[in-house]
Amino acid sequence: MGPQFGTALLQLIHPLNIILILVGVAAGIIVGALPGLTATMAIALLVPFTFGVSPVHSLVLMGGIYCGAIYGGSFSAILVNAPGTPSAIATTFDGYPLARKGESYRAIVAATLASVLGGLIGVLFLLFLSPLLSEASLKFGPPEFFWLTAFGLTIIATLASKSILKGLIGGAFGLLLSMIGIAPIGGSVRFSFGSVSLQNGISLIPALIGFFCVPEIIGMIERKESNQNAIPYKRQRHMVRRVLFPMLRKPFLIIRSAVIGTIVGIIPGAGGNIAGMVSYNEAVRVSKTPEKFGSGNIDGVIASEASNNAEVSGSLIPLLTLGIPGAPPAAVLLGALLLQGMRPGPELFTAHGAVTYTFIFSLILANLAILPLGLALGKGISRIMTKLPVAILAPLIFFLSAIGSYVINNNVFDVYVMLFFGLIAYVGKKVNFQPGPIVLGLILGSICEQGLVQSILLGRAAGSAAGIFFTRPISIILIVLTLVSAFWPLAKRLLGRKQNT
Amino acid sequence: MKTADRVSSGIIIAICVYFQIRTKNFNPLSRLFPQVIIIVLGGLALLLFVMSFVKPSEKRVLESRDKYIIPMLSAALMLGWVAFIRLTGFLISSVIFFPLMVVVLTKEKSNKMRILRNCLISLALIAVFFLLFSLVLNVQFPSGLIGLI
Repeated sequence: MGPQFGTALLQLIHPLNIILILVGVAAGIIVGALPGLTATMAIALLVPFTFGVSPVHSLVLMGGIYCGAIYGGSFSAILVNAPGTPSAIATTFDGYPLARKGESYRAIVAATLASVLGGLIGVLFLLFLSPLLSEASLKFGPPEFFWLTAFGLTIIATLASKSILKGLIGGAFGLLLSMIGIAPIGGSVRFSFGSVSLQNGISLIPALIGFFCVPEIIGMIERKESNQNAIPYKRQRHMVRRVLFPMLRKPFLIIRSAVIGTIVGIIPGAGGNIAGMVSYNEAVRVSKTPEKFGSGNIDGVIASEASNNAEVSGSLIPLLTLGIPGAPPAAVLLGALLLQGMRPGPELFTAHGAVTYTFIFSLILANLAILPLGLALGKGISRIMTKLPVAILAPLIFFLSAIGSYVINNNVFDVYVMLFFGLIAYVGKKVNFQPGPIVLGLILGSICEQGLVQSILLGRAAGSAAGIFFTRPISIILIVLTLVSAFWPLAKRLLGRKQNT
Repeated sequence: MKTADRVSSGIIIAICVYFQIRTKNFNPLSRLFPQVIIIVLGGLALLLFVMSFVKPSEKRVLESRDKYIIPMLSAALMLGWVAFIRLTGFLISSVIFFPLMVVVLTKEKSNKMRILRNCLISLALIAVFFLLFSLVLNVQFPSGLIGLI
């Protein structure tokens, strides 16, 4: 490792690599800030251009874009209530209420600092614990994946806000939607209604864009009609200091969120889409004032943003060590690695060690660059988003959502999916069905089904279909976490009542 | 809200029944998970239906009908925008519907200069993003049945 570290550091400080990191982060922030355009899309569009470029240059550029885009999603999440990237979904829960209270700049600064700190912690995991964590991820079998998704589904209680029953219905509905297409086990074509496009299932990114952007577009138009005030955006002096010092007094919030993001990023399939939500859920669960979340609690923004930027490095751990991407953008990066002739695995850290470590070190610089670039670009982005009249902003967001949905698979059907689910989400919100639980079910459904059915098959082969779910060590840990997450809110309420009487 | 809850639970139960009927054609392994989820979803929807009679209603779902005219018109334009993509292609569909939405949403309808300015801005934005994606990033947008651009 020693000489390769030195070579990697020397390569990193090459002026061209520094410029590429800064350009990547800046481009990523702009792409991420535009609702409808995603980190996956940005990296996917860039891959063909890296064909003639050296591996180091292409990887540092894409790494910069990945980090910048995941952070950039917080801008529109806070200012417009439409997450710029799916990983910023949880940032809308408290970011937008903060903006409505006139604290948009404070929320953006908090998101920036949390992204930097969370991202740096994630890179440390990637640098020092990759072999250990990738070994642990190999121990995840079908039962573990099933319990992991069960744990993920307990977040519904937090996402449901007003009605747990409607949250559960939403989650179950999302699980049902995830079953459209070819069954992962068995191979039957399910619920495709004769459509060839639906045989591949519902494309996740267009559905997420639809669920969160379209209701917000129509909501924005409704608020305009009701003459509700636009979001004020005013920079205040010393805001970085005013946000950073209280944040540093709560180190566990950042560290816990970053650890959650890294771990969720490692688990293939879970992805950054739920890292923010899981971290947000935990922040609510351990808070002494959980009722303050959802109405403008800065801790909610910090938890979500620290987690989703840590997830960037987390998703790269199984990618670099095992060739298994932990998130959609990482899957695209896998293509870029193979294009450069670099096979993930031990060889990446030996034969291509200098390139790999340069890439990992570049993520440190990329995360640090988020602070100055985010605050500088943020001024312009925020001004545009808050000053642009709704008459232009609303159609623009829809236009970008249509582009973002189309570009993933170059399929017009995905644009239809985006609008269809967007309109369903809009109507659902009117009757208190929040999109969060539906999206959670949609994301976790196929992983849950695969885990369940494969476990049953393995269990039958071993002599006990049910036993396999409860006899593996990691499964037991996940079962305990699931039970705590599911019943903790109830237990807390009962304990609170007991203390009052 | 209780009417809305009854209607939504009714719709969900109907979806469950329909999906349950469709599962008959699947093989056993493909059928297992959907049937479990359909039963759970149906049960929860039934519970919502029952609760709508038990719990009093809280707020009206739709406040004032007038407030929804422009948003519904905008939603209809979005539907038209997407529907026209197959016919006229992405660019032409955007050139038609983006400015249309801008005109509908511009509050000061009598201020023709403002409407014109907003339309020009919208066309400029379409041009910038379309050129960026199609020429720089090599994205092949659908050209529609007419196949103009």
